[in-house]
Amino acid sequence: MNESLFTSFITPTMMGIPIVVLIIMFPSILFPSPSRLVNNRLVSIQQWLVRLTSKQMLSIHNHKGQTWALMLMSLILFIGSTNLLGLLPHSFTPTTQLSMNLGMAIPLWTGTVAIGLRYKTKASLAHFLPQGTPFPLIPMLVIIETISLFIQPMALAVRLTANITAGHLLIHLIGGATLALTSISTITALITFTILVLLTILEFAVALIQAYVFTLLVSLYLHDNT
Amino acid sequence: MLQSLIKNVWIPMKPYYTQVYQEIWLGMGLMSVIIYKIRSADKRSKALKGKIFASSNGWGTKNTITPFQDEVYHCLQMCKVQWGYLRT
Repeated sequence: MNESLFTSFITPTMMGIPIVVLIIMFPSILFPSPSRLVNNRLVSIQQWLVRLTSKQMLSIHNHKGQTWALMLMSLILFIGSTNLLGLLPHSFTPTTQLSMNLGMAIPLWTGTVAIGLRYKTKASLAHFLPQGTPFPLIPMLVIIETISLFIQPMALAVRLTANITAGHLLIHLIGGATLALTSISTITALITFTILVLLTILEFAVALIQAYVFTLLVSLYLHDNT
Repeated sequence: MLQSLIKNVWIPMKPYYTQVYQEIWLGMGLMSVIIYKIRSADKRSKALKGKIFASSNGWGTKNTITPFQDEVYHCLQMCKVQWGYLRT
């Protein structure tokens, strides 16, 4: 059982060929491009959801920040759909891989910092020192703010990885415990099964929340720099 | 296929790829540098471990291994694997 606990996180191969790229591209099939003025129900619901999310997320941004609307909406759709598809049994979730999440976090964070340094250099550098800091504390606080800036992409990636991985592991463990308990005590197995159902509902919520948190934080970093 | 790719992807996305996402391309370059550094460090450490193992077993004193030494090394490795199976 210990060996099978982590097999769902191994990057899948088919006859020796890694198929991770296909799995990453798969969620895009679920979002067909709207080709008409009045679309079918699936596309209309997706359009409504995207409009709702984009209005809420981009209301704080100025003109420069709103040029990132496509990137932010693609990000939340991709992470949300990938996380939700990962809740299907025996499926592989790309967002459990730290490499993938770092690959999303580092370019986006660097983009926000570069935009700030390019268009608002003084204001970006001023973020290293909060207003009203006592004079003796300035050197230490600048160091702390620099460290907190460079930790941002790490925190983005690790937060998503840890949340999704931990949820999948818990589901696996409690599912295994439920199966093992069915032959020992039916009542305990039923209680464990109830916990499993509640946990699965929680994981659905976590999948969407983590996508929203990732995108919101990128949006906030962008807002600080534009 | 290239024409449809250009018509459906490049032309609508051109202002994004060329103007809006300039800083993101910079971030992708930084990320590729980090990946390159990590992979080359990993390769170097694996090569060093292999060299230390080889030199500690008396092979390759001038960084060259003769075919006979290679054969003996291979037989030693197979014996270790078989001994591991027998012990378990």
